[in-house]
Amino acid sequence: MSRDEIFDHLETMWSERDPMPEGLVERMQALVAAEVTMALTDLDYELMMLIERSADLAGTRGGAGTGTGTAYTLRFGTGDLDLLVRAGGRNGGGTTRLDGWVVPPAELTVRATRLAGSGADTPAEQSWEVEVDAQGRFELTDLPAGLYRLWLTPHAADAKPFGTPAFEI
Amino acid sequence: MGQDADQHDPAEDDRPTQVWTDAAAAFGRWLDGDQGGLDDLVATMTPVLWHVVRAYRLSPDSAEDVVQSTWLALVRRRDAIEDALAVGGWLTTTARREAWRVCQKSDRTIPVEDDEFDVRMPSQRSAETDAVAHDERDRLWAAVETLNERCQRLLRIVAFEHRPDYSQVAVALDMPVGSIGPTRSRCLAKLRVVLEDTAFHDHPDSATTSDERGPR
Repeated sequence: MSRDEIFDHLETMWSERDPMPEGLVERMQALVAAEVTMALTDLDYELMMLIERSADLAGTRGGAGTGTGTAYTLRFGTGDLDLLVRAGGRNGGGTTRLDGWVVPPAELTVRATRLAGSGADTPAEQSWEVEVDAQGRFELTDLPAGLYRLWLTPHAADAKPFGTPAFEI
Repeated sequence: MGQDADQHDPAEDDRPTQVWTDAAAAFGRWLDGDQGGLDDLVATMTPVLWHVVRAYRLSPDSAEDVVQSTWLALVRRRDAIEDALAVGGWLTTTARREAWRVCQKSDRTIPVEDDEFDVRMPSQRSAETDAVAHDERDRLWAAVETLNERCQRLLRIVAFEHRPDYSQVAVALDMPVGSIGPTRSRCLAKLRVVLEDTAFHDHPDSATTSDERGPR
């Protein structure tokens, strides 16, 4: 095999043995479309990083975990703020409960946006809003399946909002 | 060894670079106001980014997160890309840096060998009778598994990026830039030795042409 043939074979081999997760391209397309729309409104925000992800039951793989009804926990962080999110199993109506905990507790408004195109019935973006309580906790009880981002806006007028990466519910 | 000469000579890399051309065209369309261009760019480059990031042995979830933050960075910093032709390299470089950062920060990376893949050592040559492409890749897979982690990472990055910028790869692999070319040659040479050890007797091409081409 020539050098180029080896690299061609390697490329094919890895594509077969470790393929992209299903739907990754579609998720990234929904993500960038929403980000472009937001960039137009000139909203500046600080991106939180996914620090940890764990499924409450063994044997599920998070990224493709929709439809399993399995609860999982995500931890996001920036230098100043930690956000713990637990997405529960399905409610009766096919929606999901999401519990959040902000550390340290702060006066924040939380907005959950369900990205357009992230589910069969999502031609447009939807959003839900809730206040963080004095202990830093919040809950969203009725979220349909989809690709979500959370936005944490401090009440202080000059503070930048925080945004999580997108995650699937 | 010491073949630094093969480092930045694009002419010596003959593999098709259609992916870069497609990416540049799609990016250009987006800059011209066509949102479909961005969709096409994402469709073209996401598979490349996936493999580049997975070369760092991040878990699937962490890898997806790095791919995601790479795309968010593109939307936020598109003005920083002065030449549309450079968009593919900008994306892979951003992804590699972020993957390396995540890799360094956590010791929670999951070893790929045991969890994700069916490992096979190259000891079953007698059982192999056919030279069809699928078996070739089984053999290649087994051979790659015998290489050290750094070699596997470098080969995977080079395989998917086709023509990576070695100064950026050096940063992302924590290696001196001058050692990338020789290391790649060494990794490739080791791979060939293992492959030749397991080569089929009715498939002479696989062993004879390898050394005349020089480092990739």
